[in-house]
Amino acid sequence: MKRVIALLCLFGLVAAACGGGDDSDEPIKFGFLNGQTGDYGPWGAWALWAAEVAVEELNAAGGVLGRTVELVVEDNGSTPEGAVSGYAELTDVDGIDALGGIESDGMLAVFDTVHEQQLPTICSTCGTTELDTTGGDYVFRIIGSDTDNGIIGAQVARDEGYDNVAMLVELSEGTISPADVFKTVFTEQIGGTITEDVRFDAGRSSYSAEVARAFDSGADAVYISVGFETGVPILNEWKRRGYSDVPLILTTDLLSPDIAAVVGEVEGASAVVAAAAYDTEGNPAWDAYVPRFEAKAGDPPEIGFYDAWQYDQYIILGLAMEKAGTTDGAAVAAAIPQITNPPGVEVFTYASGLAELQAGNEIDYHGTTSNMNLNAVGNLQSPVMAVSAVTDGSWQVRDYVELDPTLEKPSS
Amino acid sequence: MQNIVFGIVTGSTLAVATIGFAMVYRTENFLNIAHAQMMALGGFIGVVLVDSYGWNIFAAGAVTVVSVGALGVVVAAVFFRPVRHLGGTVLLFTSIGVSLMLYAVIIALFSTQARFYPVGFGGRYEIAGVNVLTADLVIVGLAFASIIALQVFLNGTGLGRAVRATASNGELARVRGVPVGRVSNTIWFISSAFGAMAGVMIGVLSSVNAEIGWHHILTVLAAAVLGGLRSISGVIVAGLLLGIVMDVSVLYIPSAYRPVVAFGVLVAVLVLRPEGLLAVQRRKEAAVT
Repeated sequence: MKRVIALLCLFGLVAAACGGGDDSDEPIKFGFLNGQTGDYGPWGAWALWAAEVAVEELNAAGGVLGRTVELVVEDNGSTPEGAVSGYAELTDVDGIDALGGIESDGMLAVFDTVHEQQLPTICSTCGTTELDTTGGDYVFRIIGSDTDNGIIGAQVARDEGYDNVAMLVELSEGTISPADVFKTVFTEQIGGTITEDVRFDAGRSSYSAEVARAFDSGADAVYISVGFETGVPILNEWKRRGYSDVPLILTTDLLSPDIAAVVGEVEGASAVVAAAAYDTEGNPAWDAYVPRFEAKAGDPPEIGFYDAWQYDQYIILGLAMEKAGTTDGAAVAAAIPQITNPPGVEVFTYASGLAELQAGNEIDYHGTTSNMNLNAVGNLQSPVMAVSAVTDGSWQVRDYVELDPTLEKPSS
Repeated sequence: MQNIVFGIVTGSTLAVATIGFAMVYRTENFLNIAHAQMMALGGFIGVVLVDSYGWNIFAAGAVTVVSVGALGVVVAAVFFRPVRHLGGTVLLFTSIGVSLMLYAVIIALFSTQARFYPVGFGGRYEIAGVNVLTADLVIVGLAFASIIALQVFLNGTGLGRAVRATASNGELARVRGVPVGRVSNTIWFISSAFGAMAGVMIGVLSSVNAEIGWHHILTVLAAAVLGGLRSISGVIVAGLLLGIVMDVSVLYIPSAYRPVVAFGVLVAVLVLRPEGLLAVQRRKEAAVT
């Protein structure tokens, strides 16, 4: 019996010794949980291309922790239900080491599970105000909040001279969230009037009544916060019914080429989106990213497609894993703000960041979209904001703007 | 007044969608939940023909209606007819299963991505302060033309009379030599074709996505029950009434409650007039048939 126990112990020791390096040859898996179809479908291909550019850059520099990186893709159908099932597939079946690509609704749906499983997660396109105070442990946001988007929308309405604004708002987390901030800031801090606040579910056979109620309310402009799939029929209705003399303030979900095409067909129409933008001037990260993305996508990066944030998130995850020296979720999550925030040598690519880390230096990664400095709750401290307008049928950045410090985040 | 026009357009689409649903109930005696997927299928086939192949909307609509109508006949033969003898409950659950299967096929063929009909029909008219589009007129006109054509078919042709006879009393019709197989095929064809037409109309007014069947089935059911499931005329009136009530309600209550209004009307009618809006008309129809 003692011999059997000794033999088992020996086997155990051998297995443990081998087990210490059992994952060393396995690729590190980065999950990409994203709306490749559904409301976010128009952005899906661009998001995926950007993520692939990032992973190729990681692997070209020797991988992460000396291991190759694999991008595991799951389509969440742009729904919370799809996010939950896609997340389960990525974690339970694929065994991912970190997660990116997810949008607001999906992020909220898996938020608790992410924390329970201690999975480092970067939300590259989440605007939801829910993350204004709840992130920073395992969830980090590298794009402006809907709070910022709501405030900048109200600020633009003020600067354009609109006193009376009507609202068309689809009832979903990602669309209500900026609209509520807009309404509060515009009415309580700027002193404007909301002539109508029309809120509705998606999936209608027609939006005629809702559009008429907003556009016939005597507003100087109409603020539209809806998903892409609702936005097209609403703007078709706006075009057909002859409301094109009323300017539009749109939210980020409508910053798409299809929407620009609809608006661009109408002579004299005015539509603006005030939202987070790319940091393109004198930014080596941007300069390095553009040709690689263009080679993959066949088109240059475009503000309306949010691709650059998708790229930045995986560079951050790769650098954080290198900084942590492990794939352990808690350690990697703790390392994320360490490589995005000063102090440290400012780096603009994965390769340069890796070299600095291997030299024993602290780093401060500056992304394609902005510096990536995160606050205590994992939110981007100072997103680059811009007003984009439809010019010749496409979105063009009209002005870079800063949030007016006199306009404050509404207390919830 | 403007919202009444919107309601007539919405109601016309709803009436077209509901007629096919009610016809199957009237003759086969079960609630065909899969009918809504015929709407989705019609919407997608139409938009592919128009958007991807550049077809004229009317040609695309005609081909869509005929092809989905034919598919309805096949679906009935493969899934419903073999279990018809088991009764309405089995047929109802079969229709739920067929609905899920068709939904999966739609996603496989067309993805979950929304599609948009690139048609606008151009003109816009101001009539007594009411904004009317050519698209509104086309949709209402087509809806009523197809409904009138259906009535002419049911009342003015031998096959139509056979359909009415089967609807009134299938067993008696069979005994008296009515070709029930041919009648059944005709009913499934017409039902699915009307569903497809509604799908194209919804696509032109708004968009097409894989969910439109599920989004609209409850409203179709409400219109069918409101109209009295066995009355075509009642279904038309109910569709228009629901459309108008929903679109006018937007003026007075938050738009998000629009479906609640529809079902509020339904519950009120069920309490006050359980046989549906046109119960008298239905009794007259029954007497004639």
